[in-house]
Amino acid sequence: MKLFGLVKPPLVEGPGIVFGIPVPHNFPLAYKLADGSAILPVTTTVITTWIIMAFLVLLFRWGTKDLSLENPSKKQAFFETLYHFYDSVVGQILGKWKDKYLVYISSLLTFLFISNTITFFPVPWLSRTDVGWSLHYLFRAPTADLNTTVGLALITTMAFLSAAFATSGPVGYFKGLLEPFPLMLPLNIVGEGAKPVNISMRLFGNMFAGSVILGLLYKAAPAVVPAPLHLYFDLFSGAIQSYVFTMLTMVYIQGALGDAQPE
Amino acid sequence: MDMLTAKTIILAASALGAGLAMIAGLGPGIGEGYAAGKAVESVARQPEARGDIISTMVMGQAISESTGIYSLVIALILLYANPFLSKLG
Repeated sequence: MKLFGLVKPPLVEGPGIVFGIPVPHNFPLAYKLADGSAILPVTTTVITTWIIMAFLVLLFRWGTKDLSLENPSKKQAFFETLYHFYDSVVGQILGKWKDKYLVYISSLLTFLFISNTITFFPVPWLSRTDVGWSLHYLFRAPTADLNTTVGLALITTMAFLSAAFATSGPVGYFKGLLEPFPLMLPLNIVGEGAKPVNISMRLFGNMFAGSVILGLLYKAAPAVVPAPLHLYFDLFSGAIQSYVFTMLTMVYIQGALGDAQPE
Repeated sequence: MDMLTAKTIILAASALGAGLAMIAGLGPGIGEGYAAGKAVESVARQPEARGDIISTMVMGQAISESTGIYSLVIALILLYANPFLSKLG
């Protein structure tokens, strides 16, 4: 379908390749092109993640500049409120271990919140396809891509495994898998493996299903009908899911720490 | 059987399977509604513990939602990344 000479993009699609970095043939994970050259593909997910990372770094660099005790600015008050929020959220679950995990948990929450809600702000972008020019969104929620969510879930897995190894030692951890009796070993291993699968699939499923439902609605109804639903699928659902991912991360870490106290 | 018939059968069965998988949405819906109802009861009984109750409720709902999410992921795989179609060649 052509509109003003523009090709209408497919509304439900995977992350498209934006550009490729040319690499030698035998490079690991290289993507072979038709003309025989090999590239490392860079997808819209990666581009959006880079933009979010740059935005967050600049935002917090600017926010923590010229702090003052006597004469705090409005900006400083806002960032202090934000810090207090992170502090209370982490302290609620992790208690005395708060200081150790505050950095990871707060960056996870901020990154997930921004990337889940970024599709609420449509930035138009023109790109050249085989059939003509196509107008589409510049951003695509990075969490609607299984690669991002599995990556984050693996970082979480490292966090709770290292917490368990540090508090009870590797031997103690593997002994814990034999609890309450040795016959439960396969079930316990499946239970440990289900943790990263659970959180990554939940986030991916929610964000991708939201974009699928909105895409189908845009095909079926004029733009006025599905537009208010962005409030639910992008803002509300995105905020809840980022909170849930972070909460589950903290609960897993707390479960791995057990009753141990920080030195 | 020729390729076209095989492909048609696979596509039709995948669409049916995706629809059937989403029946699993019933369970989390009932369960989460039950949890929310209990949370409302506890807030009515103890309004000062509202924050704790809501965060516990969201946690519990998120965990009980897993089954629904798994079925959703299976439906999405059947619709967008069908493994049977690629096996057909």
